[in-house]
Amino acid sequence: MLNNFFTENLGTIIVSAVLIVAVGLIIARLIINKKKGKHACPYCPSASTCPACKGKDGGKSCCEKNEES
Amino acid sequence: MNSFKVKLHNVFAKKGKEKTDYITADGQTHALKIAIAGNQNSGKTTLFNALTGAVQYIGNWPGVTIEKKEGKLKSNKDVTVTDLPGIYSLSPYSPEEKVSRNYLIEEDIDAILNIVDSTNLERSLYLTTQLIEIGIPLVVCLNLTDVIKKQGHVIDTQKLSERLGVPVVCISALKGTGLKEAVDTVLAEARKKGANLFHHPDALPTDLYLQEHSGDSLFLTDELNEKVRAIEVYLKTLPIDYLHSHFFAVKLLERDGLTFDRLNLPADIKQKITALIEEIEKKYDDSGDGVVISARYTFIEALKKEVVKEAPKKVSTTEKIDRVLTHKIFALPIFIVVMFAVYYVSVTTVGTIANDFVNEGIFGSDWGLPKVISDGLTAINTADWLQSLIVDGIVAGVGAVLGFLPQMLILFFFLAILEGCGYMSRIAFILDKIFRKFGLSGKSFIPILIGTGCGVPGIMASRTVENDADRRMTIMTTTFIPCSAKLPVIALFAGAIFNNAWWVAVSVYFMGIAVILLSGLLLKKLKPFKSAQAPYITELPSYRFPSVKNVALSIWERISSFVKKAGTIILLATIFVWFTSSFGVEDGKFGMVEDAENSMLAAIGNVIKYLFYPLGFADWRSSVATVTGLIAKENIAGTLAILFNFAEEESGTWGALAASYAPLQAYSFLVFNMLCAPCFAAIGAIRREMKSAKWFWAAIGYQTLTAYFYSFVIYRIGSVFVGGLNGLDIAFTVLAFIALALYIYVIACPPDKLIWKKIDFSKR
Ligand SMILES: Nc1nc2c(ncn2[C@@H]2O[C@H](COP(=O)(O)OP(=O)(O)OP(=O)(O)O)[C@@H](O)[C@H]2O)c(=O)[nH]1
Ligand SMILES: [Mg+2]
Repeated sequence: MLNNFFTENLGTIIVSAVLIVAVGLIIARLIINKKKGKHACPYCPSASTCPACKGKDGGKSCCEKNEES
Repeated sequence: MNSFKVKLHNVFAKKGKEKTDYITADGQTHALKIAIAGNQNSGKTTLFNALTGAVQYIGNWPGVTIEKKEGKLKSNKDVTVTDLPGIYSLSPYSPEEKVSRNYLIEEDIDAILNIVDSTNLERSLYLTTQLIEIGIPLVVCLNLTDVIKKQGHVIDTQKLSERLGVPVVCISALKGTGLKEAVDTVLAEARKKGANLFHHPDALPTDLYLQEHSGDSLFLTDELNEKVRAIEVYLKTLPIDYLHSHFFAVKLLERDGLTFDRLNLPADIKQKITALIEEIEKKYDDSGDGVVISARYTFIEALKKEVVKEAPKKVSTTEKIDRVLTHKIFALPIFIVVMFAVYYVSVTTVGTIANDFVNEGIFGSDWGLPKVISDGLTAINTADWLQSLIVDGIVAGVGAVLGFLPQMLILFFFLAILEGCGYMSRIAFILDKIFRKFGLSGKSFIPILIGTGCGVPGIMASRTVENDADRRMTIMTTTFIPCSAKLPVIALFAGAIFNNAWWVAVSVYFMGIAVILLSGLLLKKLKPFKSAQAPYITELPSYRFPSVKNVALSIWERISSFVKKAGTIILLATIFVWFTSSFGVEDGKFGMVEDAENSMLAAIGNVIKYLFYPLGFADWRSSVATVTGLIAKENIAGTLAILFNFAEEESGTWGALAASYAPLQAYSFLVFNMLCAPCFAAIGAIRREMKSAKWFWAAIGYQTLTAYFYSFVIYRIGSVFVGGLNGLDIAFTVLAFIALALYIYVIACPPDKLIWKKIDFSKR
C-alpha cells in the first residue's frame, strides 16, 4: 500500500524535496547575509557596486555606525 | 601568545626578511597600517585596488568613495591599507570628509600615502601641507604622471621633497608604474614611526624622533609659527596625544570648530588661546582661517614656481570637447539626446529584438523553458499542482524578470561608459545651474546619477551634500529616478501595452527628473528645507577612455547581482504569489481554486484595490503587484506574470496583460510604481541616512503622496481626452483639476505671498 503510494508519486516527491531544499538554502542565505549586517544588500541589483555592501566588514562600517549615532 | 611572540622575533632575526610588524612597549605585535588620503578624483581608489587587488568602485567624477575601505597589501599581507573618501582640506564640510579627517587623527595609523593629482598641484598640495602637520610619517605620491608627461610638463620631485620635508614618488595608478617604489618608501617611513614610538630593536631615541617631528610649520610665516608654538605650549600641559599637538595648534589658530569641540579646553587656556588668535586677526584684518589659508597658498605658489617646468600651453582635447558638451546653449539638448539614446537603445530597440527572443523564445511557451520543464515534469509523473507551481509560478515569474536581462545589459553598458569617460561629471555640472534655480543643490545630482543604477548607493551618496536641509531633500527625491530594477517593469509595459513605443521609457526617465525638480520648488517653501545655497565646487575631470576592465567589471557586478536577486528574493516571492493565488475557498471548501478570483490573494487584493480606484487601476492583480513591488521592484513584473498567466499558451505571453489594461491605466500604474516608496532595500537606506524616525516617515510619506498625486492627475485629466466619463469619474476629474491648480499655485507663488500665510489664525 505504502509502497504503491511512493512509486506512483515518486516524481512529485523528488521534485518537491528538491524545491524545499532549494527554498531552505535561499532562506538560510538571506538570513546569513542579514546577520552579517548586509541588511538590504541581497535584494539590491547593484549590491556589489554599492559602498554599503563591499568590504570585509559586510557594510557594517556604514550601516551600523549610522544607526548608533 | 608567547610562542607567537617568539615566532615574530624569529622573523625579525632572519636576515633579508621584510619587517612588517614592530613590537610595542607592552610586547604586543603591531601590524602596519597605511592610509591613502588625497583630493577627490585623484586616483586613490585606483591605487588602492592596484595595491590590494580589491575591486572597489572607480568612477571619473569626484566623490565616488564615501566610505573608508580596508584591504591587505597584495605583496605583504600583514600590512593594512585604507582607502578614504577624497578631501580637500582637514577642515571638513561634509560627512564623508569628516570620515577621512577622523580616521587620520583618531586611528593609530603608521603612515599616510598622500595621493597628489599632479595635474592639479596647487589644490592637492593645499591638503598635503595640512596632512604633514598631523605628524604621522607621510609619503607624497604624484599620481597621473602619465598625463603630465603627455602634456609635456616636468616636475622636479627632488626639490619638491626637500621643500616639503617628506619623500616624494611618481606613480601612475592606472598604468601601474612606480607602485613598488611607493610601497617600499611608505613602509620604510611607517617603520620609522614604529621604531621610535615603541622601542623596536631598531629604535632611535624618542626625543630624536620628536625633534624631527615637531617645530615650525614649513608652510606658515615666522610670525604665525610663533603663535602656533605658543598655542602648542598650552596644549602640552593637557593630556592629549603629543603627536598631533602641532596639528591641533594650527587648527585652533584657524578657529576650527571641530578641534575646539574635541579638545574641550579648560576655560583659562581657551581664553589665552583666543587672545592669541585675536591678535593675529587684528593685525592681518582677516579671520584666523583666512590668514592661515593665504599663508599656505603663498607657500604653495612659490613652491610650484620652483618645482614645475610647464610646457607651453595648448588647448587640450578635454577643453575642446567641453567647448561643445558644456556649451551654454547646446549642453542641455546634448544631455537630453544622450539620455534619450541610452534609454531608447536599451529599452526600445534592443527591447524588440531581444525580447522576442528571450520572452517569446526562451521563456515562451512554444519551445522554451516552460515547455521543456513541463514536458519533463509530465514524463516523471509529477502532480498537477507541482507542475503549476514550477511552470506557472516560478518559471513564469522569475522568467518575466530575467527576460529583461538583455536590456539591463545594454543599460549597464551605457552607464559604465558614461561614468568612466567623465561625461557624468559634466551632466552634474550642466544640471547644477538648473538644479539651483529649483532650489536643489547641484551636488544632489550625483546621488541621482548613481540612483539610475540602484537607489541604495544613490541614497548613500547623498552624504556628499553638505548641509542637512539639502541632504534630506536629496534623500527624499533620489529614488524618483527610475533605477535599473524598475527597468523590467517599464520594458514589460512598453512591450505589452504600448507596442514598444519609443516614448515610454524615455518619458518615465524625464518625468523622474521633472518630479525631482518640482519637489525642489515645493519643499523649499517649507521651513525645514530653507537653507543657504552651498556653492558647488567641483572640477571637471579630464575625459578618459573608460578602461575595458572597469567597464566589464561594472557590468558584470551589476548583472550578477541582478541574477542573484532573481534567483533568491524574487523566486521566493513568486512561490508566495503562486500559493496565495492558487489556493482559496471555492464552493465552500478550502483548496486549490479553479478561478483565481476565489483565491486568498484575490481576497486581499480586492480590499486594497479601492485605494487605487482614483488612479484608474482598481484591479486586484495590479494592487497586489504594487505591494509585492515593495520587496523588489522587479517583483511587479514577476507578480503580473503569474497573475496574468504568462505561461498560458492560447493568449500568447502578454496577451492577458495587454487585454486588461487600457493605455492610460497602464501609464498611470507605471507612474505610481516609479514614484512611490522604493523597495525595502532603499527604504532601509533612507532610514539609515535620515537617522531620525520623523524624517524617515516624512520621506516615505512624501514619496507615496507624490506618486499618488501624479498618477491621479495623469489618469483623471487624461481620461477627459479618452472620453466616456460619468458619475463618480466626473467628480474625480474635477478634483484632479483642483489638485493640479493648487499644486501649480503653491509652486509658482513666492512662499510668503501664499494666501494662507496672510490669514491671521490667531484672530479667530
Ligand atoms: N590617466 C590616468 N588616470 C588615472 C590615474 N589614476 C586614476 N585615474 C583615473 O582617475 C579617475 C578617478 O579615479 P578614482 O580612483 O576613482 O579616484 P578617487 O581618488 O578614489 O576618487 P574619490 O573616491 O571620488 O575621492 C578614474 O577615471 C581613473 O581611471 C592615472 O595614474 N592616470
Ligand atoms: Mg575613491
